[in-house]
Amino acid sequence: MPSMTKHLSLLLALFLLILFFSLLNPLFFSTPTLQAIGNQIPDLTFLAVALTLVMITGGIDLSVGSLLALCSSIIGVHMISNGASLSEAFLISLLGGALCGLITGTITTLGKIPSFIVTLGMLECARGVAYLVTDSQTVYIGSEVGALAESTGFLGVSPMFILAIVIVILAQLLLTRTVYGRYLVAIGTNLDAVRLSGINPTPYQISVFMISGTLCAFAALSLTARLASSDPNAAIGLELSAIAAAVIGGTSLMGGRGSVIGSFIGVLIIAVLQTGLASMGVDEPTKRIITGAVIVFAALMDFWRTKQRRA
Amino acid sequence: MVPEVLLTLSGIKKSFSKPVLNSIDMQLNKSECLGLLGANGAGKSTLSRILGGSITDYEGKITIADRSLRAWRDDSPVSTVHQELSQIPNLSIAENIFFGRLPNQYGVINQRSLLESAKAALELVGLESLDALKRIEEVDLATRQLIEIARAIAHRSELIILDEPTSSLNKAEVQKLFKQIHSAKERETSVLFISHKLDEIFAICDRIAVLRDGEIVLIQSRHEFDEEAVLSAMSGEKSAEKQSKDRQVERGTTSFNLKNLRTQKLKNFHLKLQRGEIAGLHGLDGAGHKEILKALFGLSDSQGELTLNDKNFKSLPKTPHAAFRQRIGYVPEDRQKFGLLLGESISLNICLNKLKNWLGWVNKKETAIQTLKASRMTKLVYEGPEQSVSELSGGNQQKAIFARWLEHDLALLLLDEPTRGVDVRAREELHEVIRELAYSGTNVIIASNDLKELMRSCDRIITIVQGKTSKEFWRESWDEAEITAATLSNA
Repeated sequence: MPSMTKHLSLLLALFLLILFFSLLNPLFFSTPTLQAIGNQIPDLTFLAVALTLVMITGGIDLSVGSLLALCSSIIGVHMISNGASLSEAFLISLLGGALCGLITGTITTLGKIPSFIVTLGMLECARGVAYLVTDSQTVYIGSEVGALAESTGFLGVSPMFILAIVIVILAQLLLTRTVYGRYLVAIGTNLDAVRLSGINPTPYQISVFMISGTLCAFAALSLTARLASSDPNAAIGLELSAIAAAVIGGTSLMGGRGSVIGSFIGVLIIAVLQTGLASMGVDEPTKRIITGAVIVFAALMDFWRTKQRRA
Repeated sequence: MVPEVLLTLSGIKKSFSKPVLNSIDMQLNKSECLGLLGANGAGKSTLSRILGGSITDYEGKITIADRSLRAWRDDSPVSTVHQELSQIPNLSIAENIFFGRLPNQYGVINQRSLLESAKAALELVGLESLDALKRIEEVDLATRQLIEIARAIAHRSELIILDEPTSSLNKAEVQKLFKQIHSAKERETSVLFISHKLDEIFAICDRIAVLRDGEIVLIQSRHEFDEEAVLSAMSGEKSAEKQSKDRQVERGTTSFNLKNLRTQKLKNFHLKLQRGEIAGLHGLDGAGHKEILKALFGLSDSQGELTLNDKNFKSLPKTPHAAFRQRIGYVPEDRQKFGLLLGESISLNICLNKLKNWLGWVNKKETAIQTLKASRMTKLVYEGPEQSVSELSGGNQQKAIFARWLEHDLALLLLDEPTRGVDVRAREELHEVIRELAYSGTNVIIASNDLKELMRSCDRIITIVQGKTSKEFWRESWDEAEITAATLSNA
C-alpha cells in the first residue's frame, strides 16, 4: 500500500532527525527531553488534525489559532468569573468552537466563497471576541486545569498527550474507514463528480469545519492546562505551524490527499526540530530559517514522490 | 515517383509495469496521412507520446528526416494535437499559438509581431476572421483544435499527430478538419491520425496501421481498405458485429412523461417514453439536447412536470441529489472532469453513491463484492478493488462510471455522449449494458452528437433544433440522411 511506505519514509526522516541531534548533543536523547517534547505537542496535534480534515476536502481553516484562544478564554472566564467546573467550562468551549465552525462552514459552502477568505475573517473575529470576554487580560486558573498537562505515572506522559493520541487514531479511522471520511476524500478529489453521482456534499463540507472548531477546543484545553491560565494572546500564528505539519505529513493543499497519521508525524518532526535546535543553542532567527526551509523541502519531496508514482 | 520517407521506426519497445510496445517497425512518407487504429490499451497513445517526445526512455531507433529523434530535442519537427487539448485557457489565441517561442526583446513581448504571425498562422487553417487576442477559453472546442493545428504549422512541424481529433467535433467541423489535413499534405507535412472511428480513417488516410497488444498486426493502403479485416485485426478474433438484440418495446405503456420543460434554452419541450425504450436526442452543438438531460438531473434552472413510472412529480428535481432520490442517474459527457475521482481506488469510484449511511463504517468486503458485481456486468477489466482508477484505459474508466449507476434500480438513466473516446469493443459492451438496463425497465435517454452511436443503440431518435423537437424517427423506418437533415431544419 502506497500510504504505508509514505508513513515509513516520514518515520525514517523523524528517526534521522533524532539521530542527528543525539549525535551532536548526547543529552538530547534522554527521557526528560522526550517527555518535554511529548507534553508540548498536544495543542499543535489537535490543530494539525483539524487542518488535515479540512484540507482533504480542498478547503483551509486559518481560524484555528484564534479559535484556540477564544475557547481558552471561555474556559478561563467561565471557571474564574462564573465559578464553573472545568468539565462544564470545557463543554461550553466545545460548543463555542463547533458554533464558530458551523458559521464558517455554512458561509463558505452555501455562499460559495473560498474558505481561505471566510476563515481569515473568523481569525480576526474570534480573536476580537477572545479579547472582549477576557478584557484583554490573562486569566490565571491554577492547578485544577494545570494537572492535565503534567506527567503522570504512565510513561511520564500527560493526560492531554494521551488524549491527543486517541484523537489522532480516531480521526485516522474516521478518514479511512467511515463513509463520512471517504466522502471527505472524494469531495477533495472531485467535487463535481461527487455531486453528479447524486450525493449532496453540503452537509459534509459544513460539518468538517465544525469538527475543526471542536478540535480547537481540545487544543485550547491543552494549552490552558500547560499555562495553567487563559491567555487571549495565545497561539498567534499557530495555524501556520499546523498547516506546515499537515504539509510535511503529505496532505495536499489542493485537496483529496493526506492522512492524519502523516500530519502527526509532521507535528513530531517540527517539535523535534525546534527542541533539537534549541538544545544546540541555535538562536531564534536561525531556528525560523531552518524550520521554513524544512517545510519547503518536505513539500518538494512529496511532490517528487507523487510524480514518480504517477509516471 | 517513389515517395520520400520522412519517419522510420525500427524495433521500438517500451514497457511500463508490463510491456506495452513490442518491437514496432514502421515507415511514414512525406505528405502522407497514416491512420493508426487499435483498441484501448493497444499502445496507440504510448506510441504517440514517444513520437511527440514526452516519453524518451524507449528502446529502438526513430529517425525523422534522416536525423535521430533523440538528436532533435527541443526543436522537434513533431507536433501533437492531443485528445484533451493542452492549451492555456487564460492566455490569448496568439499567445497560445506561439507559447514557448513568443517573439520578444529582453523579455518584453513584441505584440505587433506576435499578432501578425498569429494572424498568418490562423489564415492557413481558415480562421482568418478570428480575433487572435481573444482568450482561448472563449472559443469553442472545434476551433481550438484548428488553433492547435495552426500552432503546429507555425512551428514548421513536418509531422502532425492528431490524437482522436474528431471526438468532440460535429460533422461540419470534421469536414473543416479534413480540409486542413489535405492542405497540410500539400505543404509536404505528414499526418498521423489516431482514431477509433473507422469511417473517418477510411475517408482521410492514405494508409492505415492496426496496433494490437503492442504490435503492428495489419497495414493496408487505400485501395485495399477492408472494414472486416481491420475489425478482426483489432480485436484479434473473427469480427462479431453483434446484432442489436430483438428489442421489446411495449408500445402504449408510458413510463416516462415529461411535460412543458422550460429552461433558458428550451421552450415547452415534451417527451414520452414507452416502458423499456431507449430514446436518443440528437442535434447540432447548442441545439439544446444536452440541456434536456441537465434539466432532468437538476443541473439547471428549469420548470416542468415529470411522471416517472406512475409517480407524478409536480416539479423537476432542483439538485442532482434530489434527482438521485427520484431514482434518476446521469453519466456526464466529460468523464475525467465530472465523473471520476482520479487517483482514488476503483471501488470508491464505483461504490461512491452506494456507501450508505452518514458516519457508518465502510464495509470493505461489501464494497469489494459490489465492485466485482458491477464490473462483471460492465465487463470492466481491472486488477483489484484498490487499484487506482487513473490506471484504467478510457473505455474501462467509462465502464466504472456506468457501474456506479448499476444496482440502484433506476427509473431513468441519462447518458451524455456515453461512448466518446471509447474503443470499438468497449463501446459494444457499453451498449450491451444499456440494452440490459432498458430490458429490466429503466428508461434510458441518450444525448449525442454522434448519429452512428444513436442509430446503433436507440429505438427512437428525436432531433432537436433550437430547443424544440424537430422530428422523430423510429428504428424500423429511419434513414441517416433524413435524420441529419432534420437537425438542420427549422421545424
